[in-house]
Amino acid sequence: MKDLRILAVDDDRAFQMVLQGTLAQLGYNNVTSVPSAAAALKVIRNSPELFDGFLLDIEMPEVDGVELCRRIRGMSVYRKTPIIMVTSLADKQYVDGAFAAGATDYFTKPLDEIELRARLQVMRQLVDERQRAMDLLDELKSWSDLPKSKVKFDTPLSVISANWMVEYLAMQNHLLTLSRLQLFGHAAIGFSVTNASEAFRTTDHVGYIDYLANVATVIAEALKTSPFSMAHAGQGDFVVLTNRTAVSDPKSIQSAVRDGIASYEKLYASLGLPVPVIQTGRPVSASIFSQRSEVSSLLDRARMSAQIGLEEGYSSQKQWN
Amino acid sequence: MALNAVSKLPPGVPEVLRAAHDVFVNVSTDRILRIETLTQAVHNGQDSVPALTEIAQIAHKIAGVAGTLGYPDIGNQSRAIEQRLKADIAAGAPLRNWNSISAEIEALLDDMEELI
Repeated sequence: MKDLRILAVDDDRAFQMVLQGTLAQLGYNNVTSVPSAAAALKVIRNSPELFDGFLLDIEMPEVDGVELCRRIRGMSVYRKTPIIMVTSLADKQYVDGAFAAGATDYFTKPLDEIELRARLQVMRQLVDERQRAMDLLDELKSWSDLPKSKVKFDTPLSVISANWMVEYLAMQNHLLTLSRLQLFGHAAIGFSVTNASEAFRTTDHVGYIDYLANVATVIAEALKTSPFSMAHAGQGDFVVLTNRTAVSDPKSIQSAVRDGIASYEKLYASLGLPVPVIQTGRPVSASIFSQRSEVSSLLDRARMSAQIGLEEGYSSQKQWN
Repeated sequence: MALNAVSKLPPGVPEVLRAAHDVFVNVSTDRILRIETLTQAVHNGQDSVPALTEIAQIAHKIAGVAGTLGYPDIGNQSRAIEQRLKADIAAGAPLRNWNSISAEIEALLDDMEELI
């Protein structure tokens, strides 16, 4: 397995050494440590090879970890690279800001080896996913007609032609970091393309990703008045995380999505693809008393609701692959 | 800052963390002196927010590694001081708990002095 190339940024020399030593024990030996955001940006700019992931301390003098995260995300080559924030319990309130700046995950000081191992496994999954997406992008550019073995219908897929979307795993992580009160203000809403498997079978992987990207764009248009984040969860299901108030009328959202899709009917016909049949789910929220397990199932419940659909008496059967 | 001779690792700390441990012990002298200076400045009635902010920053660094390097009590004390100082600064009342926090700082410094 390829050793991940990691850049760790922390202004405390002792912590840098603890981190490096612990990472070495876990088998991660390709780690560069720097003491500041300025040093990190210099290393990133001058590095002949790309880093696979970043570990950024939130509390640093001058430019803090959240701002550094934002600047790294601003570089096109690092738009999807895992960025894990390192924070103390006292700084946990900044984690939400870090996610807004593009962070993928976080862990707390003092270092817990088990937690660090878990976070790095997430990093590795994202790196693998990113690599898969990059491979697909190469193929997309060359318009090749290679087999679509790398694309699986059931698993979350990076919709590379809609690069404003987030990874499903990152969305799950974000949800778990929200305080009860913050969570209470959020809602998840699912959108399910009930005939996605037909499109998956009909076209090649490049066409399927474009198909999903088009659906994502139509959903985004329908939600454009509110800030949101969207991920593809696999099986043609999308989940949107937004303000609770933004999705109080799912029927009108469904109607806007269907109208949006209808305007592409001719295009789908010319491509020989089925017009996406999109079901909107009911918004799913956590209660103020939610347990952690309920929070982690929020996205699943949003998907499930979309698969069932809003229409009364209408029970959609997903066309499983 | 002169480097001390290689120190004895506390039980349970892996050898791979020896260098980190030695750095931590060696910077402790400077940290103790700095915290004492800042604490004195607050007691003397100088602008408290910059001094308390810096104490919180130092406590943050100590809390980040002390437990991992075999000093869980120092880690817990530092974390408590950091959290209390940050909460009071954020609330706009930096000195509302200063008497009890400064007692905690004194206890922390006593424990850190035993390290060096």
